[in-house]
Amino acid sequence: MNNWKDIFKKNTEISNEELLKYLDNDISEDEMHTIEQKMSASDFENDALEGLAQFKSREKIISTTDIINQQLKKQIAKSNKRKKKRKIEDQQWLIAAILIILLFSIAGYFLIHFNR
Amino acid sequence: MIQQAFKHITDTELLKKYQSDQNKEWLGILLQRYTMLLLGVCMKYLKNEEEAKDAVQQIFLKALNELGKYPVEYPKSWLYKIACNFCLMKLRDRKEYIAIEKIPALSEIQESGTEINTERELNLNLLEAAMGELNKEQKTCITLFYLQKKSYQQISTLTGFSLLQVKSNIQNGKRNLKIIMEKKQSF
Repeated sequence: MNNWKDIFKKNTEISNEELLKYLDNDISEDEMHTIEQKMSASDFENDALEGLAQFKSREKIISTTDIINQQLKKQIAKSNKRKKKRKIEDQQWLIAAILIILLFSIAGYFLIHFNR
Repeated sequence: MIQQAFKHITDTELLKKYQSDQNKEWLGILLQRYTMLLLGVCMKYLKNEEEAKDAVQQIFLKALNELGKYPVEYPKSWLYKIACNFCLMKLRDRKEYIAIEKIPALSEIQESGTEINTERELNLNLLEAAMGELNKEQKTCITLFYLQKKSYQQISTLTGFSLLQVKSNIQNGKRNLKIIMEKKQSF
């Protein structure tokens, strides 16, 4: 009766390796059942496996995943670089503003001092 | 490699880290956990490898822009919702209305947290009584799957149902069980 608890068991993650092994049928009956139980607890995993099974080959799944991940990394690096550049530019404006204020203060001081 | 190093950090923690230092690297680690799953979901609905790839890239762009702006409690469920919604829009553009019906309604997509409550409150007597009210096919598939720990393929061989029928009997059976149990609990 204890097995019944698995019906509403909290969803546990399925790794990419498990997904690919399942698609290749390269696992024992026990492992297969474990993965299917995780699938039955999550629509996300369930839909994903259905879709992945429609790919022409497992290699294509792996290579497409790699391409997307590489693209994501590039995007993040670009975004971080842009943010850093913006930060430096902001700092440059701040330094310029401080210098101008300082310059005016010194000029003002000398103006008042020599007018006396 | 990077994924392995951050394996112990949960999605919610990664999101919090991003919100505190605005470093998108955290989002990158989070999103890469779901690349393959999202690719599968998009392929299921769009049925084209290239379009599925483009769809995941678009979903990631949206995620990079929006994950920091709005409070997201369960990033995994949020990503699934976004993917379903994106595919729905794509299919609408293609005017493929039949395929759209197969997409789960967004309200049906559960947040991860709801499962925990059900598990905690699970009353075995109530479950047994609810099982008796399921139809024969669903009851057989659920019993073989959860109690006897048979795989979909084994159940298909034993019952003569197709793999798809086995899966849907289990999913629909689970959903019906929940409804029956909730009804019984409210009495």
